[in-house]
Amino acid sequence: MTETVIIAEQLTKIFKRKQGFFGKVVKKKAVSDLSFEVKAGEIVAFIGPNGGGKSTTIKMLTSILYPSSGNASVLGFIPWKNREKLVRQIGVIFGQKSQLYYHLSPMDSYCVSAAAYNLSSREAKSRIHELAEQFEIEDCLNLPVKNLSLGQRMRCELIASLLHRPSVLFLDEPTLGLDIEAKHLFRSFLLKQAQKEGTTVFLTSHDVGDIESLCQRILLINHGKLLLDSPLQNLKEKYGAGQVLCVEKKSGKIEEISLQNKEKISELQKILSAQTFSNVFVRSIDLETVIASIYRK
Amino acid sequence: MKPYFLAVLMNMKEQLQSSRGGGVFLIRVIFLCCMIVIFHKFWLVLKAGESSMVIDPVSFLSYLTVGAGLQFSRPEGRVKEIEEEVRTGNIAYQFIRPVHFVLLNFCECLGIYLIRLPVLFCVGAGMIYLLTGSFLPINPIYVPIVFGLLILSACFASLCMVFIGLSALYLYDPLPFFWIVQKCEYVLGGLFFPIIFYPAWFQKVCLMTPFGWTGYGVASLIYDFSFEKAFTVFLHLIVWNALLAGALIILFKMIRKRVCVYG
Amino acid sequence: MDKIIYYQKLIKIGFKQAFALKKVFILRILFMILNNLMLLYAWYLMFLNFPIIHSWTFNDFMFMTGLVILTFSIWPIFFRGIGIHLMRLIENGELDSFLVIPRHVLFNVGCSVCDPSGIGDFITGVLLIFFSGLVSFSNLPLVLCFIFSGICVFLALNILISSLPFFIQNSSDVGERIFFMFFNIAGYPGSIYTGYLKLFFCSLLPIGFISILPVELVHTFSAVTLIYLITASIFFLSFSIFVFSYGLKKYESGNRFNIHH
Repeated sequence: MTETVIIAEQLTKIFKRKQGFFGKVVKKKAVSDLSFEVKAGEIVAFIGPNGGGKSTTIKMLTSILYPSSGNASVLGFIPWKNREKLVRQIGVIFGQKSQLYYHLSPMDSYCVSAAAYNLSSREAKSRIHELAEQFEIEDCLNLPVKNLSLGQRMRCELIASLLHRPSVLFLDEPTLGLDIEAKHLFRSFLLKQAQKEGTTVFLTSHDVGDIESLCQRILLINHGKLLLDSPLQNLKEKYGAGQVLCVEKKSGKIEEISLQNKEKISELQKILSAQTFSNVFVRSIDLETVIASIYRK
Repeated sequence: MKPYFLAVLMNMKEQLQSSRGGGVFLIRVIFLCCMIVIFHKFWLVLKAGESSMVIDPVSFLSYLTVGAGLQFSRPEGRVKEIEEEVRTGNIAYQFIRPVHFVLLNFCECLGIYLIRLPVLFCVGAGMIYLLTGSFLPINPIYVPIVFGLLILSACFASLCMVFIGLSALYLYDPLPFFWIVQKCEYVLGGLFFPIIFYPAWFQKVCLMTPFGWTGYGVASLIYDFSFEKAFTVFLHLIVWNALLAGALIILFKMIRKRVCVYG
Repeated sequence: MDKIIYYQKLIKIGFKQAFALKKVFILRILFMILNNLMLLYAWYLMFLNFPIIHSWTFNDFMFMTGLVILTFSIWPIFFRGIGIHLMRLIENGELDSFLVIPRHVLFNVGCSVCDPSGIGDFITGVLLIFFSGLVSFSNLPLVLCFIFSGICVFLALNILISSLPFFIQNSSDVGERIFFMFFNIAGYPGSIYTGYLKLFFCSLLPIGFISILPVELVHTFSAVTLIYLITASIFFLSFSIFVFSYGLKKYESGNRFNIHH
């Protein structure tokens, strides 16, 4: 039996904002009664619309925020109580928030990170070279970060987060701002790494490509509430991601018929035999559309 | 002219909003009060050591209040903002807007001064009354004149800040130069004690620089007002302002050229 | 031990980062020395007129200024991140990347930046103390105690101010002003503060720990005052760290995208 590494129980976060120096306090519920579990080795996508509470949740799990109520445990630690112990064992990447020193080489930054995680310099060196080789950026390690391309930089960031062999990796919008090529590279490296070391990955992203190519399971939240928790495959089947036959009637109206739905097939036969259509074509519904439709509900 | 006028107004308004500049402004007011208390203590101590003081406490305090008011009204952050804009090259985006960058920044600084100066001035006068029991040693009719000259000093300080901020392109790190200019104002302008305490030769040096006039020149009018003196100060301020403005225009043209060429 | 190695590395890299811009590095050091000496010269002229300001001579003042500048300089050199940088991070919700590093947030942020102007301050501070004529071989340990307590006091004030944004929104600019206000007040000869003001500066707002008590102690030593000085400054420092840790619970992360450093 695989162990559960992340547990959230009725996690709630209420933000209090004070307007100005003497202004009144405004309350906003960002996450309410959120409960879920993640097993070791799973790659989970945590998705939802902007302002839905994704980042807040991830920040509570990584000890950045104190929850207003509820419980959570990551690797057996309560994040906000055992911050230093916990973050020693997890890796975190916030897209567009660099952990590297801008004017110095990634190597310099790694030395500091290694010291933060109590790695000896020999240990650190071999680990850095192992990762750099895998990510194909060995030649960038000694260039100042400001001279690196965004794709290279992102891979360097990933190395910084993997230095201490974290058993859980939290990624918040990791591919934001990367070009297609860099995204592909990033995904394949991440996948390779996760499989090789059995890392649990908890990822938020607006990029459906990330989710499709990486994740096995989807957690969908909106307005701070969990709307859906299902394996990626189930989601596709249930909400008809796949292909749809479209029949354009002579009146100009388009009727969509999902081929997974057996009852609809007779209807289709009827339409075809009546010859009331002007055009028939197949349209594929991608995950993006499915997710968008769930948001709207 | 309208956008510039609005820039002045906007910055005046910002100073009074608690959510924005108001908090900082309040701290500045408190700081001024603290400084007046310290100045008062300072005078008492000086007086105790020297029986023949050349200046009475009210004059001493009101002089320092005007000088300190000028210092505490300064929007120092502006230098860093302009500097960053120049260094990151974002200044190029400013050129496409139909307003003159230098004039706009100058107006923004001026707007801040226009609110901060009178408030600090009044608070200072109140503090002096509390501490010594007497009002400012100047005929209230002349206050507007002194105030007008103060604004001219503020103009000079604003131009200085824009100048230093813009020179980031050539100096890379203009902040150290700003410290020195600030110290010059402080020391040469006699802002923490009147330059009459300096030896005669150093007083002359002070009055050869603009800072002697923006600081001591204006502030000393508060206890020793004469039209003749006010006019001299006015002339000096106008000349120094004009010189600096000219230099600033040349600098800006150079920068514009350079930014356009190198992007 | 691990901690010491870590902070040592962090400070080293902060230096390296500052030194990456060599011209700025040197310019800042030189101009800061010039800056300090200009102010000292003005005071020198003042002391020509009034050789004794409430029992203090220019040498006393020099010693005090040296102490103020030296203890202050520790901040830009080693803890530059505490203060406005930290306040901005808190306000913009950018503390996240520091929170996921297994070290104390306060010192982690503090040590990650270095401002070379502090080295200029440090040099002036040492020179002023040395040339003030108040330091001899026999009272060197005493002076080191002053430096220690001064560092604690400045650091404590800075940490307290840096915690402001946890409790009050948009207070970073205010905080920066307050800190420089303290520094400014500490720059006047300590002897001018008497009565309640002195009591205030030696207890609640411990600026007097740097600008009043040391000079008094050098002239007339009192063990009680010295013990008070040291214990109180340690207390202030621990209190400020406590306040910061308490404030950290109120930290609200933001979603603004920005690259630090």
